[in-house]
Amino acid sequence: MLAYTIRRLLLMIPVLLGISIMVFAISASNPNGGELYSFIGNPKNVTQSQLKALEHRLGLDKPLPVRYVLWLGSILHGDLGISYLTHEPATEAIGSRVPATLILMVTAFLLQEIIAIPLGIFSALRRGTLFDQTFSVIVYTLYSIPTFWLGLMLIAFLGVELRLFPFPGMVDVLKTGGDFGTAAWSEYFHAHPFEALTDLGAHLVMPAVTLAAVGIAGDSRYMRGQMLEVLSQDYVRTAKAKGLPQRIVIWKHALRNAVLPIITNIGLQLPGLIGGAVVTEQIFAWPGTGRLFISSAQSFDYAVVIGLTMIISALTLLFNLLTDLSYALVDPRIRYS
Amino acid sequence: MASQNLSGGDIFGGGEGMIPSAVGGYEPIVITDADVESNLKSLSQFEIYWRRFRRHRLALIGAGTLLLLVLMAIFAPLITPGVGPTTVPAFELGVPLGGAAHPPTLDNFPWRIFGTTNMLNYSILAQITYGARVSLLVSFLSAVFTTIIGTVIGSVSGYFGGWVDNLMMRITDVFLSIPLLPLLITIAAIYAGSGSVESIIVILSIFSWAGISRLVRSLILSLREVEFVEAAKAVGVRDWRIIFRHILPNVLSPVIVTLTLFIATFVSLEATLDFLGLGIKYPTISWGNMLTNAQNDLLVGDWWWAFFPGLFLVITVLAVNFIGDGLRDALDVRTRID
Repeated sequence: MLAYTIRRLLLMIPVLLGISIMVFAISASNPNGGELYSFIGNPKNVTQSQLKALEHRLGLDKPLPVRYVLWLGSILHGDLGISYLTHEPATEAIGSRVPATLILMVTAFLLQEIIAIPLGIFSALRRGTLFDQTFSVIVYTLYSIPTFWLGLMLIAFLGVELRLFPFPGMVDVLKTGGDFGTAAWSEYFHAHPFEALTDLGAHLVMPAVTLAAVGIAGDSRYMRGQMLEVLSQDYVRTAKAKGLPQRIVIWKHALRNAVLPIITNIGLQLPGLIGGAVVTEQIFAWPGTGRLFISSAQSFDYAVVIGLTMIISALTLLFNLLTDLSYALVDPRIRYS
Repeated sequence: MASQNLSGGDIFGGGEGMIPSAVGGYEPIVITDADVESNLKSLSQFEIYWRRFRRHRLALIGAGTLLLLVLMAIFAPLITPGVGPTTVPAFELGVPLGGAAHPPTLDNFPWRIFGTTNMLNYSILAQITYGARVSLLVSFLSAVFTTIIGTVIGSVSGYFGGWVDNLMMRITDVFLSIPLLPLLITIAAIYAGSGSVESIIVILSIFSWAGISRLVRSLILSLREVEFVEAAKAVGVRDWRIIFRHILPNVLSPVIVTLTLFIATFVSLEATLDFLGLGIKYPTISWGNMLTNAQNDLLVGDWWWAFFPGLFLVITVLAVNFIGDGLRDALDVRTRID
């Protein structure tokens, strides 16, 4: 297992290199004039010699392979470059946004599993009934709703019409004096921890539901399939034949094996969650990395966009590995060598 | 019963949810009288597929809905004669511009059936019918191109094996490791400045093929060792001919199902890019960029401008997913993969 893990980790290196080449190529081949122009803004304000000097200072006059190697070197040192928009290091710009994203993603994910797993189990147990069929249609519909539209509709009906939940953003800035993560907010949090948390929680409802929706559809469907498969296994039939009560057969024998694949599948959901978080944060003005990603992409802030893409990809690879490893951990029949 | 088929298939694969994976229980194959009859008369392969597809009630509804949507897109000028997506309908000209948007109403049928936009009182109905052209064209063409690219790469990789396979699969790994939406956002921000339909189709097709190529490769790997391929090799048939004439027809069914699912995914993805201002831009109206414009109206309670284009998005995606599910059953994809 250890040898397998190490081999898989080593195999990640060429893929990560490939990703870095692709990401670098995308940014370097920008038809809009690339990094230089995003740095100076309007090219009319700058003379040709200033342009040359700037190009030299940013190292953009070097040949592409040299630039790639230099860029890769600095990335490996944890330096993602300077954000052209805010002139702060990209690592700081990204790092300061991570907590907001984590809060949103973890909440959405928990919500997703809490709803999806029981739903899947019940519709498997009531297979073919009205409940099961209604469930199927609802799941299909939920799965077909674009995340951003769901978010907009929640805002329109729950936010504007019914005024049930506050939006946009993560906290009520008028009340707390500052956005989440700022000193003003921390101060408010220390003074009134309960109010600060309920405020945050209320702001969290609509974004978390939006982000969880697609996952609820997918996971409950998957859970249903797993449960049906396990229920048709010989050992479940044996347990029934022994005369064990239905309750014990289902909740002790079947459920345990049906839930395991869901748990291991968590790692594979990361790309979907990240994509969803990008859109959700944008709609709800949630001050996280997803919103940073879009605003940076829209204004060609390379250091941030490329840095985030690299981080997201590395995380995806890592979670794929964790998924494979967790298969072996929870299922003794699987052995990697 | 049609709804039973629904419980067998699943549209949810891993990752981005595009590759059909064998999740869920097997449905028993029920032999009906129709099947027995169909054995008496000899049926063409296509007729067999059609009979099975027809039994899937939701797939039929999906196909009918999609047909209506396509007709709506094609005949957009006939549905709203004289009123384009960005022309002010004649009867609105007396209404002061810059006023409030009109909620859905049957007055002046059909122009205001979905309400009007604010400021210029454009007909939302006209915007939706014309927007359907963009959504359907982009998603269909991108899905076809993606499938072609993925199938070619996957089959070359699987058939030749060796270093070709190794190299191509590492490239596929790279593409699979970057979550699709963030990747497309970056690319679209850099390359699709013009916001043209063509550029979005190219971007969607070039960066989404990795999943299909994996699928096709795995199918081909198992087919490569089959007797009829060996026989073809033995009589000296060239590699390309073996791939295209002997192997690919056998992977067609899962590829077609995947293509359908890709159409659904792309309808959603394209709308998302448009919405973020990174896809197709005004004055070309798409369902996605309608939602961008409608965003602020939501905040003052004018929900209809954002509601109806989204509703059409959901209907389209749902219809295509049902068709995909019906096709999966009709083409008997799971048996083919196993």
